[in-house]
Amino acid sequence: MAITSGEVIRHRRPETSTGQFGVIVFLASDVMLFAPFFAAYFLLRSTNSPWPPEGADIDLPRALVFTIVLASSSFTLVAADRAQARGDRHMMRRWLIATIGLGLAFLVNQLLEYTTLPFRPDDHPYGSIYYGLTGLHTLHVTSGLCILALLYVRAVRSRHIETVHPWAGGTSLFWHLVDIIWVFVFVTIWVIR
Amino acid sequence: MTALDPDRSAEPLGGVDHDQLVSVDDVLAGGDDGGDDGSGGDEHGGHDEGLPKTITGWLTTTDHKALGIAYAITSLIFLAIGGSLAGVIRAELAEPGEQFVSEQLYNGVFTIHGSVMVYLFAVPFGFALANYLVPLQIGAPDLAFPRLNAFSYWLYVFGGLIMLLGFAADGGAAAFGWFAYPPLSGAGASPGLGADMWIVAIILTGTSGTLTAINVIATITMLRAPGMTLFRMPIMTWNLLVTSFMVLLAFPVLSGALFMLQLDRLFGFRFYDPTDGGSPILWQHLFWFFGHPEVYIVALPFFGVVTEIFPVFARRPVFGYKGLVLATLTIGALSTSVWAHHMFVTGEVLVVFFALTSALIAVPTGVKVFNWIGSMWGGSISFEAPMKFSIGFLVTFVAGGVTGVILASPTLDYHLSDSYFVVAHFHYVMGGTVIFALFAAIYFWWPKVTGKKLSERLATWQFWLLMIGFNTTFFFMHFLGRDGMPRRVPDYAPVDNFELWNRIASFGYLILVASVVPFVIAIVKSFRAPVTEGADPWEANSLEWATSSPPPEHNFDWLPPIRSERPVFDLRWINHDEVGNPDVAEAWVDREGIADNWRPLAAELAGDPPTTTEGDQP
Repeated sequence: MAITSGEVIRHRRPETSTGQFGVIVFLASDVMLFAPFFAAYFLLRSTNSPWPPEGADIDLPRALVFTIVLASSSFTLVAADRAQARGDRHMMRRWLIATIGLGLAFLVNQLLEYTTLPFRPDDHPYGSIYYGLTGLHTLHVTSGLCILALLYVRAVRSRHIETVHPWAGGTSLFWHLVDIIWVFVFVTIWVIR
Repeated sequence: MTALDPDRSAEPLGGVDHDQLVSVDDVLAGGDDGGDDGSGGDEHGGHDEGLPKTITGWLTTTDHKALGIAYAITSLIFLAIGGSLAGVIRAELAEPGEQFVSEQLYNGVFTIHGSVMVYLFAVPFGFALANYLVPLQIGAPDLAFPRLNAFSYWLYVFGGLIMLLGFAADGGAAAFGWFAYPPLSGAGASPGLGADMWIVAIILTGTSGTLTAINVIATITMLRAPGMTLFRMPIMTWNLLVTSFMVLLAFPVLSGALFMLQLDRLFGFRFYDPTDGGSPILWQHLFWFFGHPEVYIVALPFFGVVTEIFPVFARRPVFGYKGLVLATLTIGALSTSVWAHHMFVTGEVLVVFFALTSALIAVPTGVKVFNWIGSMWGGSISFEAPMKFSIGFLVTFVAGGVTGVILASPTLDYHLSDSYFVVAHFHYVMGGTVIFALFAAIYFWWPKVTGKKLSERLATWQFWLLMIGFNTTFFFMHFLGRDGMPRRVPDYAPVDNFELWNRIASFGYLILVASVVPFVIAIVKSFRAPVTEGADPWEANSLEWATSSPPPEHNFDWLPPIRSERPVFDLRWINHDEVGNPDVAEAWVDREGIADNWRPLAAELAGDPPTTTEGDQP
């Protein structure tokens, strides 16, 4: 947006810091979207016993492995960010591929797990909230992977790697949040139960 | 701290010769002469207003002023729709027995009445104010994300249309009240498509609200003009900032709860279904965790409106600026911990805690009331239309607040819950106060938006009709509720004067409808009138009055120095020793280094006639 008459109004360039700030505020609202699902988990847990109901077995070691997979994707993304900051487009692309690969592995496992679970969401409240909470997170992983893919395309196409900087910043903030929320989901569903 | 009181000496206007006051119009007109001709209005009105000229232009605009106007018009249309639905309710209740509508339709009517008023009228009108005013008040060219802003607006429009189209759906519109308690809102009790449309509509408008809140927060944080520190922002902007944070906290929770409700309805999930371990209380917790902040999300922008208006028409600085800011923050914080006072009668909540926090929230609200009174105290008050409506707001709000404290007491709430007492209470706090402050806002900012003033005579008519009509409609509902008439019933027994109070309320509704007439006439007359007003018709304080009326594209060609929370006041009084102190001005110019852009100051400092050079590198 051009400001005429002598550039009287000076403000920070919206495409960099304002955009990233907007992403942070958006992520705050995203946390609040997860909040009712966590609240529902604990409220339903307090009003139903046994919890989880009999026969509703879930695979803790498998979840732990893929928690580590998703958490490590955060570190590969940090590496991609650093490569981008150095202007090393080659390494940035490699690390991005690694991140997307780890994310995809997590997503595929999640979908496979849905097909093998011994309960359905309409069986009991535990099934509802299990699918609700992990499902909402899976949606976030999916959209996070789409944004990462978009970032990869931008990184390939851009003439100067600096130009993807604001996108990279926003994308990694989102991906890190998705990872952090997963840790809470994991602790809630598999550890606390 | 920085605000200087014009009443410092005994005489009005500080005892200073009025000629010494600077007119914003003269400043804006540039340095061609000494400012003898007061024709600033002609020069700036109508031509460069930066609003779209064509229908396509309006449909595709991303301009914050155009979208602000669009938000205001759309929400007023929804007010008219919600008001008409209220007419159906009042007609049905005028006599005992069932006359006009079936029970199912009656349920749909009060559900959509409440939903339209809360989700589609009251909150979006606050966003209209945020859209139009926030950039102007902080000296920014637009909101931080203009395209996102346009997206939010259209999301809201489509959400609203989907909700209203529910009446055309098979089985009618949603009929479970605006807070949609399961199991009544579940698939078993409300199988119709209208209920699903209601849920989708609320998710859409909620998302729209969340995105607007993100935009407002980013704008206020990142785009403030040089010198506009947080504690120099107008209270209006402060309130919209806190409102946006509350939206951020509350709306996504509602969206999440609605997702779960929709999963229950469509796929047989068991979140809320009590027959198989689900918890209807869960919905009530989630809904009211949104619902009570929502009340303040509705109210805070309008608190901001009157905080802008009282000081202007009392010719005083706002009383206790920081106290008001702190009260707003306190309300925002407390509002997240009072939700379960809507659930006292469930017997499932920690009554003492929520009664205590609910009573506690009356304290910052009381602080605000006394600040408003303090702003008028000892002032030189004049009763133009915005001031009338603001005082109407104050009276209505205190009345509603008092019944709020009554309802916060569990002992009384057990008796009054779900009765017409509650209906009266929330129509005072969410209906009356919003309507009064809304018209105060319209009368106050109309000259800024259009460059014309609305008729004072018609405003007086409207004010008194509204005041009488509103209280006739809602005051006697207190008696109805106390005597035990439940809400949401189309029929009642003619006992305990029920039919008398109901007839009075229905009669009051007619007065309310009549009060719209002078307003519509005033609007039509204003459209035909020429542009007469300059930049600062009310001699107001905040930055939006430092640009022409209507403001140009990107709002400002020029900004006055911002040294207090009243930059336009400072500008008008810049010749006055204490306000336009050359030392302060010099220090300011030194620091900001853009002397050329501060024509009056630059002239003052250099002793030269103001220059008209533009385009220098800052």
